[in-house]
This record gives sequence, C-alpha cells and structure tokens, in this order.
Amino acid sequence: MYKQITGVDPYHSPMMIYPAVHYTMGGLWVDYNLMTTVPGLYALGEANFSDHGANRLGASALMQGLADGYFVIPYTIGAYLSSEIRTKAISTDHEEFVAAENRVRETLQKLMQIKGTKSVDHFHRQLGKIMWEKCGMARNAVALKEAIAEIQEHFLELGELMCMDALQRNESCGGHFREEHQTEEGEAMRDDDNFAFAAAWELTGDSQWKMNKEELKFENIKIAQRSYK
Amino acid sequence: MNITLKVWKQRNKDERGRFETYQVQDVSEDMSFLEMFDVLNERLINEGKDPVAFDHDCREGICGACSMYINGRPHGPLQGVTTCQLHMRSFKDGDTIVVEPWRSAAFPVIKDLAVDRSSFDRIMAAGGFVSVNTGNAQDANSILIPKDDADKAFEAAACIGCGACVAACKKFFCYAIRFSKSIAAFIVASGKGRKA
Repeated sequence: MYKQITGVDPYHSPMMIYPAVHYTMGGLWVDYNLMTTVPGLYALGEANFSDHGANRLGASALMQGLADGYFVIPYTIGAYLSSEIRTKAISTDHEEFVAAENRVRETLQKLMQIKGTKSVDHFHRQLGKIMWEKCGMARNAVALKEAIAEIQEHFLELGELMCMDALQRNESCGGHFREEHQTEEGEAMRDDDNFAFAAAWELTGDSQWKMNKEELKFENIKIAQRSYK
Repeated sequence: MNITLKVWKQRNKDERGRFETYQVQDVSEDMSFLEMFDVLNERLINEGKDPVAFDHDCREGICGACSMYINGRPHGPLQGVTTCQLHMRSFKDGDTIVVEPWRSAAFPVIKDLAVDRSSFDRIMAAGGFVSVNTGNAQDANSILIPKDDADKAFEAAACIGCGACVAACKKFFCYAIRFSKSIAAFIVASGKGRKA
C-alpha cells in the first residue's frame, strides 16, 4: 500500500511518516438516545460527540458508526416515532416553514450575488492552512487568537468555534496539546480540577455561542496522564 | 510532465455528450489522478470555464466513489486500485489519456464523469439484507462455516460497491442481481436455522 501511494519501496528506503488531519474530534451534542437539541433530529456515528471524549481514534470512529446504527438507534428512535406516527403530514404553508425557507433562500442569494472569482478549493486550502497551523495537534493561545481573527474576516464560523474551544481549554488532554501546558519532558499536562468536562457549545445568535459544561464523572477509574513509557 | 486529456463532457442525462480535449501542464508524478483533475478544474474555474464534474469522497481507496473509465478500463491501468489511488507516475510525459464515465445503461450520467449509481441501492433494498430477531449472538467459534462459504462471504464483504464491474461488463449487472439474491437467501436461511 505504501509503495502504491508513494512509488517508493519501504523494503529498500525508510518510510516517510508525517501527521495529517484525518477527521475532527467532537461533534453535535446528543442525549443518551442520540437525539440532538432539535426534537426528532438524531445524529449518529462520527457526526455526534458522544462516545470518545477528547480522543477519537481511526477504527473507533468506524465502530461508533456501527454501534450507534446497530445497537442504539433501533432501540431509541421508536420512543420518538411512537407518538409522532399520529402526526399528519405537516403543511409547507406553516409560517415557521415559510420563515425557515426564506431565511435559507436569502443566505444563498447573498452568497450567489457576491459573484466571487475564487473556487471552493481556494477557500478550502486557505482555511485548512489556518486550522492546520494554528489549531492543529499542538496549539497555543497567541496563534489561536490570530486564527480566530483571520477566520472572522473571511471564512465559515465552524473553524472559529473550534479555535475558541481550544483557546478556553487551558490544559493538554487526549489528542489536544496546548504548548503552554506540558511537563518538563514535553508530555501532556492535564488539569482535571478545572477541565473535567465536555464543552457543549450552544448557538445563541449569528456567530454567537454559549458554552455549557457537561461534567465528566468516573466512578471506577482514576483519570491520569497518559504515558507510553 | 505534460498530459493531454480527452474527457467526456455531458451536461445532463438527456443531452448528448462529446469528448473535450484539455492540456494539463506541469503535472507532478506524485499527484493522484484526481489531484491532476483538481489542478485542471482550478484552472478552468479561474478562466471562467465549466469545470469537469466527477465523483470522489474518501480519496484513500475504500469508498468506491471515484468512478472514472480511464483508457478503456474502469479505474485505469492498475489491478485492484481505485482512481484516487492511481498516481500520475503510471503515465508518461506527453501521454494522451481518455477519460469516460462508468459506461452502463444502469448508471445514467448526472454530469460529465458523475453517474447515478442508485440502481445498486435498489438491489440492496430489494433483498440484500434481512432483519430477523435471533436473540443473543452465539459464540462465533461454535458455528462452523465451510471454507468455501467463508471465502465467498469474504469476497462479498470486500466489495466497496464502486460499480466498476458493471461499467466493465454489460452482463455483470444481471449477475450482480442474482448474486445479491443468493446472499439474501443464505442470510434468511441461516437466520431461520438459528431460531429453530
């Protein structure tokens, strides 16, 4: 597989290894039934935040998709559907529907009327570079604040929220390494007195969020710094 | 390296398509085939021209979305390698490469190289799965599976549903339908067996 991708035979030359973004950790907030804050809207697999906390490893992301799909949703969605089944077809003339449709149409029109000259790839690369360099595996407060300012000027706000979340977490934990918080040996330094919580960000207005803390309680294990030594 | 592309352009499933010729300069041999198309499309967009539509998702050889018929072969010249894992080092400087969509009546063209593969979904919905409550799963080691069946099951599991077989062989679609039904029958039979 390595030879196929790089054209270099690893039996003869050392393998070139470097980190890369594969997917993001975290996701939509859901309850134990995998329902989001929108009643009837469920989020499964990698789309939700639920099982993996600060770390989500490759194969476990796939397993979460299978577990949610096979073992959770078939037993939880019925509770919602059992009462919804009596609801008749909802008219698209409903004032909430019309308002939502208009809101989306206006946003799309605004985007199309800009008559931009740059491709989707252009924005993807630029935003990707900001996120990779300033909100990557190792991040610090100075760079995160720069990233937030840069994203506010030109880009979609999801990246901004990820930077804000990284900025408020004054500890290193799981796959998230804040350079300011490391031991003398360069290992991740946790702060469980202040950060033993999952941050659930709630949209309160255009580009406005409020953080809700979900406390993490461990009854059978003691949380500690991970060590491979 | 410099490449000449002859690419199938078709606005939608009803209009007639045609080959369009593009020159792509300064192609790195380490680029994947799709990255070479990214470079072409970026240029076309900057020139105000219509980019080439093509399907892609994972770009790591497991999703099967990158359906391109390259020089008369689905996914190009290599064995068991999807288009996204095909690199430009498989071609030579100055080559002319012909790129078409999956060619099959079962896969109507949506635009250019992107085809509608929902006929595969319809096969699966028609009987590729079955829901039977069989209680708790038995210990897998206590169910003996003959080696031949295990090998056949593995072949089915290894399929990523890309549709190259259908694009390559007009008759395969009939086999695909028959094959999925025999799998469904197998699952139903084993489910019933376990219940009893």
